[in-house]
Amino acid sequence: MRRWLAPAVCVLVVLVALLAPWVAPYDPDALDPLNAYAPVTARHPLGTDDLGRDLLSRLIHGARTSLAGPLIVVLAAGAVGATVAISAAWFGGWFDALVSRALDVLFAFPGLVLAITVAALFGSGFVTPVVALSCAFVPVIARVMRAAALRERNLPYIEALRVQGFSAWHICLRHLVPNLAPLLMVQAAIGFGYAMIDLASISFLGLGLQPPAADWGLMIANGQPSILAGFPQQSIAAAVAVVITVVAFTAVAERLATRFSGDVR
Amino acid sequence: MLEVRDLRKEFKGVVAVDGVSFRVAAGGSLAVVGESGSGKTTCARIVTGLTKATSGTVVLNGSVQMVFQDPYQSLDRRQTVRGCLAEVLAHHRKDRSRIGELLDLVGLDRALGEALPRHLSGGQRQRVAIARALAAEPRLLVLDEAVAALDVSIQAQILNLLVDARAATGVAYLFITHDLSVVRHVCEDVVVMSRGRVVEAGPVERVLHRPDHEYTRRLVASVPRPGWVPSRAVSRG
Repeated sequence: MRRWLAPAVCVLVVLVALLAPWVAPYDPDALDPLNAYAPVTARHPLGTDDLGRDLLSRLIHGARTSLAGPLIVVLAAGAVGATVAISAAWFGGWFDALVSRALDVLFAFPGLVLAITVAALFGSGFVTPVVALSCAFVPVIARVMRAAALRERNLPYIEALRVQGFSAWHICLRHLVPNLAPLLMVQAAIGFGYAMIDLASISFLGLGLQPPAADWGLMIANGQPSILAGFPQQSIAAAVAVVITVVAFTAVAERLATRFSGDVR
Repeated sequence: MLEVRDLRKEFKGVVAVDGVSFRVAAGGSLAVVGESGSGKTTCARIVTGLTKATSGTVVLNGSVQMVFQDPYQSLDRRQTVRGCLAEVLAHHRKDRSRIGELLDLVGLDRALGEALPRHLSGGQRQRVAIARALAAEPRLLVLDEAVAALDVSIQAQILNLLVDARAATGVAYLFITHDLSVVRHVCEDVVVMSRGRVVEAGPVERVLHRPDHEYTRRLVASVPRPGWVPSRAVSRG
C-alpha cells in the first residue's frame, strides 16, 4: 500500500467532517418521501433512504459525530490515563501497587459492555456513551503508559534532575510528559479506531444517538429494514465509512508507533 | 567540607554499607574504590540525597552535584546542550550567558550548543553532563564511575578535563570508581571499600604503593601494567 494513502484518508475524513455543511449536496434531514429508495444516480450518488433523504449528505454529516465521539474518548482517557500512570510511576511504592491493582480490576471489565450498561441505565444520546467509554479506556491507556513512565522515570537523567534540585512537578511536566508524549499519541490513535467501532456498536444497538441524527452506527442500524426491501445502500455505505476510517487511523497509529519505538534512546 | 560518619544502609535486611566514615576537604579529591557491590555507589547516592541512609550522619558545607556513569542516559534525549544548561542555570538563578563559559570549561565546541544528545559521542555527552553539574557552582562534585562507560582514550581526555576543572573552579571531588588507574590521575586521597566496609584509607601514593590491607593488595595486583601476569592476581584472589 502506498505510504501516503492512510494519512490522506485520515485528512480527507477529518476535512469532510469539518466542512460537512459546505460539501454535502443536500440537507441531511430534508425529507422527500416521493423520492424514497432512489437508486444511485448523478443527483443522488449513493441514492436515498426510506424517507427520501440523500444518503451521501447523511454520510458526510454523520462523519461529524462519528469522529467527535472517539476523539473526545481518546482525549479524555489519554489525559486521565497519562496522569494516573505518571503519578503511579513517580510515587511508586504502595500508591503504585494500589493503582496497578485498580487498573487490573477495571481492565477485567469489557469496555463496550460497561458503556452499553451505563447508556442503558443513564439514557442514550451522545454524551453518556462517550463518558462511559472514556472511563472504560482509561485503564487500557494507563496500563501501557505506566509501564513506559516507570522505565522513563528510572533513567539516570531523572536522578540528575533530582540532584539539581528540580521539583517533582517540574521534572514530570517538563521532562517526563514530553518524553512520553509520542507514545501517548500512538496509544490515542490506536484507541481512536477501537472507540469508533465501540461507539458505532452502541449507536447500532439504539443506545447512542437517536434518529433522526445522522451517525454512521445509527445509519447501519436504520438501514436494516431497507436491506429486506432490497435497498442495502444505507447500511453498506455507513459500514464501509466506519471500516475505512478505522483502518486508516490504525494504520497511521502503527506507523507512528514504529517511528517512535526507535526514538527511545 | 564533607564529613561522613558511621554510615549504614540496609536494603530489606541486606547490609550494603556498614559503618563507613570519610571526609573530603574543601577543594580536595577523594576516591572511593572497590569492586561491584562493595557499597561505594550507595555511599555516593546517600551523599547526594538520592538514597536515605539507615543510620549515620552526612555533614556537607555547600551544594553537591553528581555526574552519572552512563552518559547515554543521563541527559534528556529531547533537550539540546544549550537547553539543558539553560534550564539548570535558570533554576540556580545564574546568568544564561555562562553557557559559553561552561562549554569552554569542559572543552566542548560552542557550535555543539544546538546538538541533541543523540548527535553527540559518549565522551561529548559526559562533557555536557559535567558542564551541567558545574553550572550550579557546587562545592562538591560526586562522580559515580564517570568514565567507566567510555573508551580508554576518551577516559584520559575526560580525566584531564576533570583535573583542569578542579583547578579552575576549586570544586571538590568524591570520585567513585572500581578502576585504580583512574584514581592516581585525579585524586589525592583514597578510601578502599569491600563488602560495605572501609578496609583501608589514606593518601593515594601510600595506599597504592604500600597497601596495608590484603584486599587492597589484591586490587592493586589486578590492575594491568607492564610485566603484569594475570594468573598471579587470580591465584591470590
